[in-house]
Amino acid sequence: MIKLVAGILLGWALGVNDAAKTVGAAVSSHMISYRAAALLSAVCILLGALIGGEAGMRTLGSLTGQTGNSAFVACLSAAMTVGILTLLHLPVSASQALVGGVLGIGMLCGQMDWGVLGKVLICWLLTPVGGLFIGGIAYLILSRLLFIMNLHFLKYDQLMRWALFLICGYSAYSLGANNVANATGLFLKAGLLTLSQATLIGGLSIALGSLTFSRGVMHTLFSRILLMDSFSALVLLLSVALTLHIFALIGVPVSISQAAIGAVLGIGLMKNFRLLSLSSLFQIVLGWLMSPTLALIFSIILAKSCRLG
Amino acid sequence: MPIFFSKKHYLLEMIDSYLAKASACMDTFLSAFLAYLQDENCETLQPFVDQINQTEAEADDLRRKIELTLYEKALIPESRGDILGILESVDKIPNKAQSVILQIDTEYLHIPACFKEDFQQLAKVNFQTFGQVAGAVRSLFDNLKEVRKFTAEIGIKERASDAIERGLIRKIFSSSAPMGEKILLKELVIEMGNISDRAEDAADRLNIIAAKRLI
Repeated sequence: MIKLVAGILLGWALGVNDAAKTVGAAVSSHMISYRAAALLSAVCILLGALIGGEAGMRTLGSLTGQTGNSAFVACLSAAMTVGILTLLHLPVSASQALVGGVLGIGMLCGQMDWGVLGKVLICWLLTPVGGLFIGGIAYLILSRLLFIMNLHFLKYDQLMRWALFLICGYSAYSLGANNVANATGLFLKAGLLTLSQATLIGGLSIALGSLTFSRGVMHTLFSRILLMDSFSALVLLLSVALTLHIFALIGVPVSISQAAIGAVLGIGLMKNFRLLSLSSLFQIVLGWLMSPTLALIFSIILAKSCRLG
Repeated sequence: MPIFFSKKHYLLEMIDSYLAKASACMDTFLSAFLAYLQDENCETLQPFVDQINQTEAEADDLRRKIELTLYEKALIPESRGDILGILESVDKIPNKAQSVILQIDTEYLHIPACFKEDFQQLAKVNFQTFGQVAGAVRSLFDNLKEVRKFTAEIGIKERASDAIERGLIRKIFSSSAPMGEKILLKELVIEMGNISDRAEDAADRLNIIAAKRLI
C-alpha cells in the first residue's frame, strides 16, 4: 500500500494547483472566507470524485497494463513533473503529466493501447476548443436572459453572489469527477484498490490539496480573473465547470487551465474583445508538450532504475 | 441571507436620503440664485448661503457613511466600486452649485438687467439636470432599463445649457459693461454651465453601470 503514496501525492499536488481555480472567484469577491471556500471546494471535489469519477478511471486504466510498481512510477513521475513545473512557474497539467508517465511505462513494456491514447489526445485538443464554444454559447444565452430579467442593481448583485457560490461548488465537483482518476485510477487497474476505495482516496487526496496550500494560488489567479466584470467571471467559471464535466462523462481527465483559456477566448469573441494573446496560445501549446514529455522522461528513468521495463 | 437583505435595504435607504439632501442643496441653489437676481443684495443671499453650506455638509456626511457601509462586505466588489464611483460623481454636482452661490456671495457680482433672463434660464436648465441624475440613480435600484431615458434627458439639457452659455458670453462681451465685470460674469456663466457638465459625467458613469448589468 506504500505505493499508493505516489498517487496521493499527485492528487494533493493537483488539489493545490487546481482547486483554487474552482473557488477562488468566490474568495476574491469576498463572498465567502478562504476557509469556507476551501471547505466548499474539498466537499464538492470529494462528491465529484465519488459520483462521477469512474469513467476517467476506466480510461486511464485501459491505456496500458498496470502493476503496483508501474502505477507507483507513473504517479511519481507525474507528481515530480507537477512539482517542478509549478516551482518554475510554468504551465502544468496533472492529467497530461500522468498520461506522459503512463506512456513511458507503456513504451517500455510494449503494452500501450494506442487507440485509447488517441482518444485522450483528441480530448486534450478539444479541451480549449470545448471551453471556447461553451464559453461563447453560455455568454450569449445568459446575457440574453439577464437582459430579459432586467434585475435592478441590488437584485443583480445578489444573483451574482449566489450564482458564483453555486457555480464554484459545481466547478469543484467537475474537477473532482474529471481529475480523480489521475490520483488513483492506475491503482484501480493494478488491483490495489476497489472502485469505491479509488474514488474515495483520490477524492480525499485532491480535497486535502485544496485545504492545505492553495491560498496563494487562489488570490493571485482570481484577482486577475476578477478584473473581468462579475458576469464574465461567472460565465467563465460555468464554462470551465461544464467543459470538465463533459470530459468527466466521456472519461478523459483534462486540464482545467486549458479549458479556462478556451472559455476566456469564447467570452471575448462574444464581447468583441480580443482576450487571447499569443502568449496564452503559447501557454496552451507549452502545457500540451511539457507536462507529458517531462513525465515521460521521468517515468522511463524511474522504470529503468526499478527494472520495470 | 437576512443579514444581506437588511444591509442592502439599509444601504438603499441611505442612498435615498443622500439624494434627498443633494436635491435640497440644488433647490437652495436655484432659490438663492433667483432671489439674488431680483435684488442683488448679499444680505438676502446670506440665509441661502448658510442653508446650502449646511445641507451640502450633511450630504457629504451621508456619502461618507454610505462609503463606510459599503466596506462591510454587503456587496460584491464590483457593485461596491460602482456605487462608490457614482456617489463621488453625483456629489460633484451640488458641490458645484454651492461654489456658484459662494462665488456670487464673495464677489458681490452685479448682473445687469439685460442678462438676467438668460442667467435665469441657465440656472433653471442646470438645476433640472440634477433631477434627471437623481432619477437615473434611483432607476439603478428600481428598473435598469429606465436609466438610459434619464441620461438621454441629461444630454439634452447639457446641450441646451451649452447653447445658453455660448449665447450669454457673446452677449456679455458685446455689451458696454466694464471689462472686469465682463470677465467676472463670464466666469460665473462657465461655473454655472459646469453643473450640467458634471451631471453629464455622472450620466456617462450611470450608463456604463446599467449597460454592464443588462449586457
